[in-house]
Amino acid sequence: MEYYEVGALFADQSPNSLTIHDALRTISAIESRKDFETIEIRYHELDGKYSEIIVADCTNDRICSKNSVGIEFKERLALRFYDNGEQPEVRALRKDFPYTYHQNSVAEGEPISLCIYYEPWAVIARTWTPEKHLNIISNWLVRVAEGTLHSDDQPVEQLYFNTPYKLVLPSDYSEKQNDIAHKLIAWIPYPEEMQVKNGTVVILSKFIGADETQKPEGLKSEIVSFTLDPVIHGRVEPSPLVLVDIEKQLNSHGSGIIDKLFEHIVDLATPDGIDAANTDCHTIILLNIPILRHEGGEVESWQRKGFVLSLSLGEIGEKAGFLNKNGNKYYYTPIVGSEKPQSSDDWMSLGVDLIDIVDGFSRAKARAASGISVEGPNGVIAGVGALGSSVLNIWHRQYWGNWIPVDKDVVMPHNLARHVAYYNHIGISKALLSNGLYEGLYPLDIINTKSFNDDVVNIDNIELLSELRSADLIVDITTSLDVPRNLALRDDIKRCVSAFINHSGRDSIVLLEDSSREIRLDVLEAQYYGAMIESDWGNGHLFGAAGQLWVGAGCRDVSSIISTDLVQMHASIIARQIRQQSSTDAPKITIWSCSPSQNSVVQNTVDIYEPIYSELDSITIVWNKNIRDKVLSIRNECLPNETGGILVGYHDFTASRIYVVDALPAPPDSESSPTHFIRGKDGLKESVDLIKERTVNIVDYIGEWHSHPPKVKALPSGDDINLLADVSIRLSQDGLPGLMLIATDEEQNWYLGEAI
Amino acid sequence: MHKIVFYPVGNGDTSQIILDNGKRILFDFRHMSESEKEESPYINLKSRLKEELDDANRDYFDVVAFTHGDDDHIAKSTEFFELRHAKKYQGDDRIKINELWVPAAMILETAPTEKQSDEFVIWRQEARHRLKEGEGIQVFSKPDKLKDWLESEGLTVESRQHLITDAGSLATGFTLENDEVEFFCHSPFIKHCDEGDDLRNEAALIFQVRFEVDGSRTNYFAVGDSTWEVLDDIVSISQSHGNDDRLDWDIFNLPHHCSYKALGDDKGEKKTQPTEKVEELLCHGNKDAYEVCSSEPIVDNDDAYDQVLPPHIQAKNTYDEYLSEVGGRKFLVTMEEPNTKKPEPITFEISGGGHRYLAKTITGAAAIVTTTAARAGQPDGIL
Repeated sequence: MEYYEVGALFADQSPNSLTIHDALRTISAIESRKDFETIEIRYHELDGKYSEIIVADCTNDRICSKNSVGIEFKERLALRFYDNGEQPEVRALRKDFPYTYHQNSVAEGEPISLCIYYEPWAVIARTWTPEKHLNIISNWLVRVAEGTLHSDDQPVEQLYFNTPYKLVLPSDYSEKQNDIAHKLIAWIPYPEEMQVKNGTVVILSKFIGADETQKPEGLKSEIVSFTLDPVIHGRVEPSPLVLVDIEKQLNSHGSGIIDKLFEHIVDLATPDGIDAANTDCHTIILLNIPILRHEGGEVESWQRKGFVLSLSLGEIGEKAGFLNKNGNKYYYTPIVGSEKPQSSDDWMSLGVDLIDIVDGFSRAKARAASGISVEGPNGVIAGVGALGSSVLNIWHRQYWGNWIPVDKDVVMPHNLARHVAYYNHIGISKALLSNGLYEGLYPLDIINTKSFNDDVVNIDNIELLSELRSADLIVDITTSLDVPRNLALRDDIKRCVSAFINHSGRDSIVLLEDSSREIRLDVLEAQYYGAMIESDWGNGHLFGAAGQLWVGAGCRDVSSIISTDLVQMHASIIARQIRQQSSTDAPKITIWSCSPSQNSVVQNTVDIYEPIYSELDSITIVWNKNIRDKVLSIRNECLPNETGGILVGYHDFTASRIYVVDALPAPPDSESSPTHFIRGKDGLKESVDLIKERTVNIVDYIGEWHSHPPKVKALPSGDDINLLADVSIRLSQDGLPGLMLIATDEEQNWYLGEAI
Repeated sequence: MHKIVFYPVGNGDTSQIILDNGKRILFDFRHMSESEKEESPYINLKSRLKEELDDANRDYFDVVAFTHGDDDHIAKSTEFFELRHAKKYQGDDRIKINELWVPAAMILETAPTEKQSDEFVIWRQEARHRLKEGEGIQVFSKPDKLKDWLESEGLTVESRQHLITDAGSLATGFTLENDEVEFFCHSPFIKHCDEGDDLRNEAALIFQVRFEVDGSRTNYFAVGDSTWEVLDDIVSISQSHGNDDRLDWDIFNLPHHCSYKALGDDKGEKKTQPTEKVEELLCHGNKDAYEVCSSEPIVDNDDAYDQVLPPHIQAKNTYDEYLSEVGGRKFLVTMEEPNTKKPEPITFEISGGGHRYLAKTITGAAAIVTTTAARAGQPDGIL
């Protein structure tokens, strides 16, 4: 058996010669095991890097006697430890140790290096022990011999190891790679010195017109790509040094490049020759490699790899002997009297450097990375302030939906605290910036360049109006109360959703219309208030809002203090929930309450009731079946007497609507008989104050309701008219109309003070 | 994947072949009462085999082979198996035997009364019963005495020929094509059964068990108890019949618990010099071969060299030497693996990749949680 020798022998072979702690621990661990035997100890020092090596035989009963991989029962290994704490290395010293899966890249002529750890060394090191190390080595040998180190359900192995050089292809590469009207150019976006510190040098590329001149920043290189014959997956090849290495390696996998490369050069040179002006030009050969798991199988994956030659294509042809330089051109030169070209073996020793080929970021990749399979809507997003820009940023990175941003504001310095914007964006339209950020992600996938620096409800903007009408979904994150109410009343648009966060930044709210718009944003808003009054989460929900309800941490309130982490958290919730909820048809009201004391977010959903629109002459009363049921239930309980109470809600004169949020039962000091009802006042003020407090004064007293007994119509009696007049007079002090509901089982009639 | 399992039963034999198709072939049975104690190093064979069969949802072996009738190869077996010849050996969860394999001597043998164990007699009755019934048995070799016995029972050799397999041929019931295994019978052969009084060991069953999986061949040389004389004959006969390949082995179940008598007449000081033919057999071992010695641990100290009963250290040294010569892997002792305190069955796996020893590799915490913990308690003298 022939073995590699690594480093130099210690003169004194006793373990005490070892100075590296882990080496000492390991040799001690070996002593207590039957399956490892120390053969000798060595050391190695190069360029100030010192390592100690335990050469040991590992025997393993679990290695199959005739395993097809070629792992032996007894394998001699070099266990190397570095004094700088680097990951210990394991080399198989047998000279004919097979190339297998999961080996590290080594230079030609060096013993094979086993890739035994998948996690970074910094992680492994925390739980590393020599015993575990030896177990893992032993297990690696077994699993390689079994062929289970790379199981059938694992992806096929790559052909080459990764290199520090990464050529990033443009996202339209597949589309244009065979299009002769375009050529691929490459450039290094940051100076190599800046990049190489990280061990990676990134080269970017893009297509330009075939006749376009390369920009000065471009690399002086020609990029040619070839699709290889299928390569059968197997061992990872060591890094090739010269061109013939690559050919041999590909040949061993049933493929090759040289014939294709030379054919390409001949085609270029025939009949007009190749321009020789390009001296000191590099050639980047890009390989598209179909990989088969087994010979005769289906192509299982496509891998890309590239290599760089420091010569132009013409020079390569010259080295291969079939091109000759004449003046400023290389010409194809067949042997006189023969069809065969002249040939030379000089090409074989041309140096090559492998480069990794990395796909550019595309929308398809974005969607795949987020595990999203649906395209999402063509939508309009109104309001791209702190919350809106964050939501949109998420959707952009997921490539969910195509969005037209609408916002009438520009970026101001204070916006930088919470917006997706940077200093150089100050002064730009927020809507325009949103599109700019999208283009920054997908420079080659721009499909929508529209944005509107406008108010989304500006009906004079015809183009905007047209976009609103064609949008599948309109997302309102304007943080204004006006926009959702406005959208709610429009019949020429599709589904709308409104999202905002509360004044403290602790809670976020999403109001989503049903897909057929039976229940619209204004109705959802009223029912949101109703739930806020009734529910636990409503306590303190709007605390501190001081009359300003719809908050988006926007720019209007420069002094508002909401931590950007809360904005981002809610933006994430809102982005995800709108994405998920909009795929169903139902309407939804959802509140996410963040409890700072418990560091948790709780989701609250609100039951939604069918609205009832009661049209009066000049105004529509918007209430719902829940309020009706409540009124009728109280009435039934009090029969044969009449009963009643107050109504709470709010007015929207722009919309000519009164929204009824709740009907309260009779206070305990009320008087009632089968023929009369006088609403009392005990506890009523407290109730109304509470409602006002919870809803930051949006919901208030708006009128009275009372019941009529059976067989009596829901028409106002003389007393009723007097009552309504009294209410109307009192409310008129605020310019508001008086409202009265008379309810029987059969009918519920509304009366407006002004109307009587 | 096929398996061969050797059970730690002290100086005795029990091994099992479990085929990939689920068939189970048990060779010999030695249950030791002592093994029923928790601290005993011996395996509780009855409960172990029962457990294995339960796991496989079976209550039978396809084949149980008794290589010969010595007590260390049949101990307590009549308590474990269901016998067809008498009701009292039936029921009570006894394990059934679809086919019983015995050397002809076990049908015939009439040992002097004091040497004849009760269990041996029971098995002889069972074997005779099955042979008379004409099913559920395979008898190896056909000495004249067997013919005589058949005639005395009013049967002809012809009528039972399908139940009789001669040395130099394959046991019926298994083929490489259907089972990826075949059993080539080396012994007993006629010469021995007709020779004299105490023929048990000489007449023991010896097989070369050949596995062939995906074109890859693994040979297991299964010897019960034997002597160098028998082995000499086997080598010579195989050679003269051009059956040299039937001497090949990748796994060798060493004869008679590593007795020097299976190598040569003279135990030797440090090593036993094998006879020429036995040496040839040892050299038929393949690279990566294992030798398995079904015996008590083999101690290597001065006293060991004077030990009368097997295992003999001198024999082990010889086996070691030849194993190393053929590039073999290990000499394994059933009572030493993975340790002498609580040995576990030695299991080999046979596949297209050849054979491998499934040595116990579970260590550390993973191993601790599969065993009971050591006793914990208050220190003495505190209370």
